[in-house]
Amino acid sequence: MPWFPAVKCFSTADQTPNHQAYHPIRDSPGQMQIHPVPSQRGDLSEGRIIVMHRAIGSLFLAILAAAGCWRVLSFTPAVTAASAGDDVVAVSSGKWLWQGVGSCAASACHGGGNPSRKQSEYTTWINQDPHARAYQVLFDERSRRIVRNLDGPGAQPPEKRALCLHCHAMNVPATEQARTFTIQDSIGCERCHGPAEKWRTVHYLPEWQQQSAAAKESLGLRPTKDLLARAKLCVECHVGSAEADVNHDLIAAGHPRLNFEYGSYLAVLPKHWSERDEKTRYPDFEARAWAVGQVVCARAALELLASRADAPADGGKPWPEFAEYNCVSCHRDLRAWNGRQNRPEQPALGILHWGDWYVSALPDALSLQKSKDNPELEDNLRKLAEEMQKPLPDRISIAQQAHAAAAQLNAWVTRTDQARYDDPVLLQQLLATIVQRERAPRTDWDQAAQRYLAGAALYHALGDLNPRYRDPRLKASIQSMGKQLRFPKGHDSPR
Amino acid sequence: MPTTPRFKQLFSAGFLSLTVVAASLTVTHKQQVVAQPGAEKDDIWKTGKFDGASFCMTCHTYPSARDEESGTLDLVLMTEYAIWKTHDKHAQAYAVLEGPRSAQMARLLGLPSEALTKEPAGCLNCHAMNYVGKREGQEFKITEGVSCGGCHGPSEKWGTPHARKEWRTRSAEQKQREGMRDLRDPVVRAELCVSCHVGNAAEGKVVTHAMFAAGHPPLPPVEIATFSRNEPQHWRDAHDVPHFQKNSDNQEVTRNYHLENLEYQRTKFALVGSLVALREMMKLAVDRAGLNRDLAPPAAWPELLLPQKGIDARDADQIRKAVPHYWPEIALAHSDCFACHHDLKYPGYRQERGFGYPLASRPLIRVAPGRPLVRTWPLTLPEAGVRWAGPRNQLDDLAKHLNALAAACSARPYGTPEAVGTAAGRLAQWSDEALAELKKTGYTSDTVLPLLTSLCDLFDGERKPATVLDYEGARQVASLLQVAYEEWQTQATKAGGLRKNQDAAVQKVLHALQQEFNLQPYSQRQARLQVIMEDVVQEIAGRKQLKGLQEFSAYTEDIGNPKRLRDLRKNDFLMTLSRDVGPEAFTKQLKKPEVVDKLQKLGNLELDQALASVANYDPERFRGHLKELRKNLPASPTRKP
Repeated sequence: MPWFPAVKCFSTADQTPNHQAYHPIRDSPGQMQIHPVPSQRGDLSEGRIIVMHRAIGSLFLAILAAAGCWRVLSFTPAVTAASAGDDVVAVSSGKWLWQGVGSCAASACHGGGNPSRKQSEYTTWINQDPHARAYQVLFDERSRRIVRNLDGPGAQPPEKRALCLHCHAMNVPATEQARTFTIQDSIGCERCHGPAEKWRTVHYLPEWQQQSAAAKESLGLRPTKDLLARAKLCVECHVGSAEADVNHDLIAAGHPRLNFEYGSYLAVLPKHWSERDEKTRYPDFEARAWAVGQVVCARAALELLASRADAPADGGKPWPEFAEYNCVSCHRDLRAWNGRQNRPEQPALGILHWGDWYVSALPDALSLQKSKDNPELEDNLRKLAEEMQKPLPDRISIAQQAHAAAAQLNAWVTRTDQARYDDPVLLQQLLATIVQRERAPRTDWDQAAQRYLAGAALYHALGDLNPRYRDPRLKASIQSMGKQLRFPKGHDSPR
Repeated sequence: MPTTPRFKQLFSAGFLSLTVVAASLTVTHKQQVVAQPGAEKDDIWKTGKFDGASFCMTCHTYPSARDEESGTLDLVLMTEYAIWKTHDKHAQAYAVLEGPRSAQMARLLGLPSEALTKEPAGCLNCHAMNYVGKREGQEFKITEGVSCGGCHGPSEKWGTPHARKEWRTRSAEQKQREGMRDLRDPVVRAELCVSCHVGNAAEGKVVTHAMFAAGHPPLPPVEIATFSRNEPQHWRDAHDVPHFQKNSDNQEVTRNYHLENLEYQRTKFALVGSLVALREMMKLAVDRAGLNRDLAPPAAWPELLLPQKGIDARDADQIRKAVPHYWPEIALAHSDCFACHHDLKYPGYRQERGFGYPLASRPLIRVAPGRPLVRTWPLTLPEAGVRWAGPRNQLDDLAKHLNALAAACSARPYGTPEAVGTAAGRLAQWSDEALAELKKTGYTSDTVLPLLTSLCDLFDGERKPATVLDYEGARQVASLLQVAYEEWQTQATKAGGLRKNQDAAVQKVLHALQQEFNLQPYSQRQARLQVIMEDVVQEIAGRKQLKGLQEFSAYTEDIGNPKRLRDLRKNDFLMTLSRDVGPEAFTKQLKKPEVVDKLQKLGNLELDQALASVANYDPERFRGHLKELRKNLPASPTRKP
């Protein structure tokens, strides 16, 4: 998928196994400029040059800033307070000790030096994967400034704050840390694969391969090969949750905005697994990842909204929560005539627009399913938007509606996961609709970006189904959608 | 209307300056420092009639020989009407309501376009003198925008007598009792200016966030000395007025015309005005929070009366009850525009600056990041002024009240009306007390130099932790520096104590500040004059190639120069304006769609320029300017006034 937005976050020259502090601006070429980046996935088609736009650069910064954590399925690690009166909340397995990345890193195990082969998983992670620096960024000037802006000069440092550690490290209670464990491991192996106490010494034995996924899970190994399980894992930090809430206070203080899109994040993540195997497992990988991602992200976003609204009216979370709104609906240089006043449909004047990053492409994703109608969901989303766009949205009704809409998505999550994405006509139709829609006058950046990402995913999906599929004109128009999303020099937002 | 010199003479004496800003009527606030006449029932300020500008035009268009002989020009320029009518945007304030921007606003607000020029919409409260059918005097025309009476007061009782020489001997209080506003009092003038340029809920002068969203330009920070200069002034600075020069020892004249600190009038106006602006900004928040029980709805909350809200304008209770529900929308109207409305940049200066109310002499009074705040620019100069002139503990009180306001805004976005209103009320009261101090202060060369240096010291970033000002706060500082230095420089030159190279360096910095903060008169003035000349005056007079506009315009920029004034006696343009172009015909022509369109386009250019200067603001560059300035100011004794 060579022309998917991609960022080269770390060159091999920037290998810092000793966790030298990572500086997102200095070290991420993606943030500040357009960079031709060699494809992470050279296995598909012609172009090896990826034009990176800064928009996605900031998506990627979000990866850095809030790396993977999870809380899913039956073995969901519970979030517990480490001790009374202590601000630190840890992610806990409740059952098993966490071993730390050191136990995986032996060169004969996962620390092999050839990234194109198996057994190089640790090597890829430590050298290329931003998750490996998640903890270290807490020590850089940007992070210090964030806490200073939140709490003043004597602010508690980021590495002592549960909110930060929740996503920037494996914040497990001391009682669950093996002697080899260290918090400096950032988002290490076990954060995604599960605490390894019970499976570390057996998972390389021949008979392990014979075990069922459920049996492995019962020992703490998580099914990360499963696209849905993986998505659920990503969203807790990358979309956010009650405990990992990147709200507007935090963003204003200097934290990047979170705008996660599963398919494209997967595309740009340096893989420590075989993409060929993944394609074999999922012949419809691109469309599936996109569709599953849309639904899982939307559900997580609605649950996050519910948790924001559900907090006690005073002393709890800020309300209205500005992070729920479209950034650019306010953050825009004013101009004498900015064209906004000429938009055909005018919501109430000067009212913040509820952000639709997580729901604008949702109907498209749902349209790929056999069962198409979901009037209640649409109705709920419309009501939510309506209430959110009142000057003072009612917390109780927002919480109820958001919970209800999230619950309605449960069925769609299952459907999306069970569906097959092998009908090229259906995919082609949707792609045509999306590209066509892009020509409509004025969409906001979030919608346009989601359309571009959907368009790119669907184009690649057609390639999944037919390796000889080519449509240069269509491809060019999708690429031009991407180009239009670039920010002007020095900007972190569209103009 | 007879225009003979004899008639003219009748009216030629004490007509003081028409001033800045818009129409306001009685000012009846409780926290008034200078008591405006206004308590009595049939008080002239509540019932007096306003004469139209045509009434004033007869005399105040160009100086006649007789004006000079009679000594009228010693006090008055007699060109006031002409300057206002041709150069001053106040004269076009009504016309813009019929322009394309207003049409768009009406459409978006869900109002018929003609509604904007009708009384209930409230636009006329600032864009004209909203007294149709009630207090119309001779030749009153609402279409004349913010005309003479809007600032000078209802002329029913003083229209004729003020032309007599005897009028000069009356005290300011006596004149105010007759309905003539005492505009040489900085507090009175500032209150008048900010009633529109900041807002005044009691007078129904409120620009709501919906209006801004529909296209109303943002209200820039106000510093009245510079505002007046850019208007442009149709009056001379006090030290240029011969009558004042001749009577500098005369206590009665000094008292009547507020001539204490004659050489530093503009500095005083800027500083005193800044406290009035702070007070009125806070009072606006109090009133709009619904805490002022004397305030009768609906005028204070135009946003609640928009058709889509479905609130009955006659039902005061219903309106009051709606306030908490719509508080975020109400609060946005008095929040910092550019705190939210800016392109996102990284790295950007805001994260470096921190979030809260900046007091330069103390650590930032922090608010949770990213919260809308009651506009912060009115704070900048009062702090500097009080720190310079006031008792030290006044700043402790200021910090205390700001902490309460900050806590209100931190507790939840926008705060609650009660919490914000209560804290704002204390700040309004504080301003009032500080105002009393600052008004008494002596403004002399010995004290103004320390003011200049202390402004630099406060904001040049050398103090740690450094205060990072927003564009609007920085603009206030730049504005005061410009005003105070100009006056100080004049005195220093007279005293022979100014080093030329240092002065040149300072002027260079001030010029850069003027450009960067858009402090010069509006940029399209020449193009506007062209429109007035060609599409209005020449059109009506039926004459081409009128002479004298350039000369007249140059005079407005050098208005203290007696020779330029004398030269206007035979000015072709002014004579035509007076003889052949009646105000009514002028206004009618001004309202023609093609003229309105042209002026609107120029207005848009000016607005874009102003907004670009906001977007291009760089605090580091600003601090660099102050450092440079500080370096070139003479060493000053740290003498307080």
